[in-house]
Amino acid sequence: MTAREMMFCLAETFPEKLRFEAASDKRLYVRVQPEDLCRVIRYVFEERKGRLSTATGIETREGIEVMYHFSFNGCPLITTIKVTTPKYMPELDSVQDILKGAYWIEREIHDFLGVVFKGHPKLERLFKARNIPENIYPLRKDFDLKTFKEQKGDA
Amino acid sequence: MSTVIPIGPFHPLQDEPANFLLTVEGEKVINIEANLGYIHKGHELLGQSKTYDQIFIQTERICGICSISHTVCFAHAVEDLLGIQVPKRAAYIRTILGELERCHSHLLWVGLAGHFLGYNTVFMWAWKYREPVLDILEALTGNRRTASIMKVGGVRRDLNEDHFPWVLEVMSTIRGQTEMLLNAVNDDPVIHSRTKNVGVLTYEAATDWCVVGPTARASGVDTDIRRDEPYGAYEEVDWKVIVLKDGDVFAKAAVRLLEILESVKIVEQCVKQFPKGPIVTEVKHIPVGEGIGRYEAPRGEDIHYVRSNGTNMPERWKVRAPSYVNIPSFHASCIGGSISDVTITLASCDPCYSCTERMAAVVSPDSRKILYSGADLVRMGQEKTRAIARELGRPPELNLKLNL
Repeated sequence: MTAREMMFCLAETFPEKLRFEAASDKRLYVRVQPEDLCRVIRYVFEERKGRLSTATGIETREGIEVMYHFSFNGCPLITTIKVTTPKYMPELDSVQDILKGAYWIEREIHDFLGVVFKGHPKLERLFKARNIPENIYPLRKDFDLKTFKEQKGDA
Repeated sequence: MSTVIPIGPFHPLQDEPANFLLTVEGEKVINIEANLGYIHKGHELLGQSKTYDQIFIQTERICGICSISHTVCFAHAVEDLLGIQVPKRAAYIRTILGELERCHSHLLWVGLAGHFLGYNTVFMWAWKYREPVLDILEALTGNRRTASIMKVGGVRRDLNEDHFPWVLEVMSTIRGQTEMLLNAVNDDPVIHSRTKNVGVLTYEAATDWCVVGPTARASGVDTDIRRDEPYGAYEEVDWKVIVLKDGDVFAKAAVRLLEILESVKIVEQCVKQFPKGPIVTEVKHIPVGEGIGRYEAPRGEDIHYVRSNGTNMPERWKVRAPSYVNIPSFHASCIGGSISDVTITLASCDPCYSCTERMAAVVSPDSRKILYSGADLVRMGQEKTRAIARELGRPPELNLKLNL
């Protein structure tokens, strides 16, 4: 399946909901609204047999962007589903009940960017060190390592 | 009545830290929870303050075994962003080094698996066979591991073709040795009863947990990035993807052994048809954009995501190593099994955290007294093999016959 075919499939199933971004024939970027996220991911995983390679979280000017990268066995396509959530209250629906492969990555994004995944059964620390407080998120742009170390007293 | 048994924070099998909490009822495992982050190195944050050329050196430090995999994967991500192709000679160099890495990584795993089953001859022999591969890597790149040879658009240094006859010689020796190991594993009834139907990961569980690499291929999932998104020289050489159906520890071992033979085949062909030409496509500037790179590392699909803001440092660099998706599949493969099979099941997906010292303890929840150490868990696994061998009237060591 090429990026173009995938784009037609998605556009047909979710009319006027999605925005497609610049793509080569092996890479497709799709922007969805937070309320459509679970339905789109369920479609890509169950109908199109996608495999969740990983998810990436990044802080942008508009808010916190989470990207779900889907690979497909047997073809070079990677479909990336992008969703943005506001910085002051980052919340997304958990996709862990659709595919278990999201179990760790959602915990990791919660650790480092503070996105709350509603419905995740165990949204606890996975990688963040025990001496970093709960409300400090190291991958946010306002995180400053130097100030953090000075406060901790190990600069 | 259930008991919680912590394994770790240092893994009982590999010299790497992870804490597994096993909930057991008698001998049966009913739940497993992983607890990580003991050596989280913050590579992604660090990478945001490094230039693209510096990141290549940093990327190698993610994993000592897969140092070539991660650097090539990062190069793929930046090359996807730029939309460029690497020269043919550079693609061949990447393929040869990548396949040598796969050989040595799989041989290392075979040795460890032998040790956990109580066959220490396998452990010593497999590691002995691995040494010449590292010698080749040292001769070709200057270092046994961390070769520092990749860059955006190609490779930094050329390979010396004078070494190629020696490479072919070593490859044919490794083929004989791997076939011998394969026959020994296939013929031994003790290994069969110890690994068949142990730690089974079904096809459904494998797709649900999104596992990759040999772990997925042993469960019948036909996935291999070398074929799905061909890079390097894989389109120009003859090889096949190894897929087995059973999903147990035996199938995972067989997939890895058969893959060594495929790697040997790929290296031999690449060396024979090694092309002439430039080794790098010059890159002046990295524009604004995003790119995703994939690579089939020895343990499975490696994926890097890079977002550039037009400066010489990336805005965001995301790394996902194959063990990240393979380790959570323990939820599916360990539960319902016996505690003496946990060690080999945990080892069967070749988990890779990063390297540090070994220590493990099993603590009684009531008295906080140490019941078993990591060495005891390994010993329990080894004793089980010996008991089966006695029952079947077999010698305590594996029957290895080398025909050279």
